[in-house]
Parts: sequence; C-alpha cells; structure tokens
Amino acid sequence: MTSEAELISGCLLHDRIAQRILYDRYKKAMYTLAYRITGDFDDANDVIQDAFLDVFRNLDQFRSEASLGAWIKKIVVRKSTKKKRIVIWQNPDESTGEIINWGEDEINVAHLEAAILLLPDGFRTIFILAEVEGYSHREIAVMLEISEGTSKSQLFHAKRKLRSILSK
Amino acid sequence: MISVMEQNKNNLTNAIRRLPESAPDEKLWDTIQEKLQEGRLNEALQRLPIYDPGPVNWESIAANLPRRRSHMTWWYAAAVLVIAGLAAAWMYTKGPDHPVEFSQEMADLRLQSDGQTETDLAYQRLESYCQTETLVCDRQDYKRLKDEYEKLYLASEQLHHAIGNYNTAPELVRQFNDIERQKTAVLNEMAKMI
Repeated sequence: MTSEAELISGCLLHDRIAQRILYDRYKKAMYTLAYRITGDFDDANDVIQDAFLDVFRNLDQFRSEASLGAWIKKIVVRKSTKKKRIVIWQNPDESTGEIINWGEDEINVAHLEAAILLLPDGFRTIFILAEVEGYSHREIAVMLEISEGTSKSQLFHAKRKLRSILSK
Repeated sequence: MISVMEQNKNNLTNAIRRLPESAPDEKLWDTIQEKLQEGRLNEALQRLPIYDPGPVNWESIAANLPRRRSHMTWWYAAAVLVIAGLAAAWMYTKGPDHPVEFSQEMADLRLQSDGQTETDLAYQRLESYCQTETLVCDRQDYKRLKDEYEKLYLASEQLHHAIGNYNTAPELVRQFNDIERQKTAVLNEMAKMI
C-alpha cells in the first residue's frame, strides 16, 4: 500500500504509475461528488478531468495542513459549481428554527437520490456539502464565498424542499 | 476527634455541592430534536450509491500530462555524448598522421567515343544499299550475318555505357575492343557478299 507522501512524491516527478494510483484512490468519491453537485454524468466527467489535471499540475502547492483528499475535494467542488455556474443567493433569514419531520418510515434511497437531483442548484450544492460530505457551515462559507448565515438558511430551505418532493 | 485533614475534605465537598448550576441554551434541545428527526434521512444518505468514472477519463487525463523522463533515457543520452566525444577526440588525434587521400581523374577527349564507330557507319551504308539492291540482302546467310552484327552492336553499346567517360576499367575496355573486332570481321563478310 503506497503512502500518501510516497504518492505525492511520485506525482511531483510525473511518475505515471503514482498518478494512476492517486487517481484510482480518489476517483469514485470525487466523481460521485461532482455528479451530485452538477446533476449530470457528462458534466461530472468534464469536472473530474479538469480537477485531476489541476491536481497533478499544482500538487507542488499542496500543503499538508489538510489531507490530500480534502484538498482534491475542494478543487472538485470549485470546478463543479463553476461548470454549472451555480450562484448561491445571499439571503440569511431567521426561518431556520422549524423542525422538519422526516417520518418514521425508511426513506427509499432511489427516491432520495432522484429528489436531491430535483433540488435547485444552490440548495443541492449546500445540502450535498453539509449533509453528505459533512462540511461545517464555516467551511462551506469559505469554500463558496458566502456567509455562514446564508449556508444555514440555504440548507434549511433545501431540506424543506427535499421533504416536500419526497412527500409527493 | 476529627483530624484537620478530614475537616478540610468536608469543607471542599460542601463547597462543590454549593457550586451554581448552568442551564443549556433552549436551542440545544431543538438541535437534538432535529437530529433525531433526521435519523431516517441520514440513514438513507449513507446508502446513496457511489459512481465510478469510466476508463476514458483516465486516458484523457493521462494524455494531457507531461511524461516523466526515465533514468534510462538519461543514461542513453549520456552514452551518446560520451561516444560522440570519444569519436571526435579520435578523429582529431588521427588527423595529422593520416592525411586524407584523394585522386583526380581527367577525361581525355581523344580517347572518348560517341558510340558511333567507323564500323557502324560502314554498316549503315550497307543497309542503305540493301534498301535498293535487295537480291543479296534477302539471302539467308546475309541475314544471319546481319543478326550477328546487330547482337554485337547491342553488346558494344552496353559496354560503352558501363565503361563511362574515364576508361578506368581495363577489363571492360578489352571486352569492348574484342567486340569491335568481331563487328569488323562480320561487316567484312557482309561486304564481300555484296
């Protein structure tokens, strides 16, 4: 098993095998993330190609403060939102106190995935980053250049919309 | 009799019991309630499918990346440089002791032939004659001689080309002269018949 440091060293020397191992290690997570944000497999393919080219070309700028996976993920998120020209409306409101009832029954995964894809781009992006990828509102705010309040507000509206779609 | 140490312990315990209590923010319960409500959602999110990009993606990425120069490439380059250097040094040291040899050939116009000998001119005259006086020329033995001459003529032509302008191949020149003598002999026989 090649360590992350060995992989990075190999990639910096343009070692094709190291590049391939790194790609294989992260390709599924990044492709899935790109698909969930863009909502389109073709767009996800374009994002992945662009993102990994950026990764290999700019790997010398990677600092070990975060994990390599987290660094690549941020590149993928940035490429995905840029690809779809996703704009997050800056509207931090106070209506986030309402508790959404998700019911007692198990949620069908296929329905959930379809419902997520039906969310507006901005809602979907925040929902994926917060609920699927586990980013905090502070991290989302930095990544998407929005306020934390906007991130919270968008997430609440995304969940309410999602519940509404699943109820139909 | 209570010792001083035990008295201090009791004092500390009593003081700890009297410490004030702090209540959490009311919103905390909302958050807990929200998380409990989202249990089903989180369970479902954990089971969302993972997608695999096709092999084409890697091929496109790899095609746009610079290739690493292998150590072997550098070894080859170094070997070529060393060999080239040695060759240059060898030629430099060899130069003064072994001067380049050359020779110069001059074409002597007096020795050149245009491929048309006196024999051939005589043959052409016989041919002109045959066009008017066909009696002899139609004879079989004359025709045999004529075929023989033409074969010799072709052989002579080929040798002339092979020898070129400088007459530097003695063997070819000798063969050429032999053929010319045979041509002359055949032409003499033809002339006698006429």
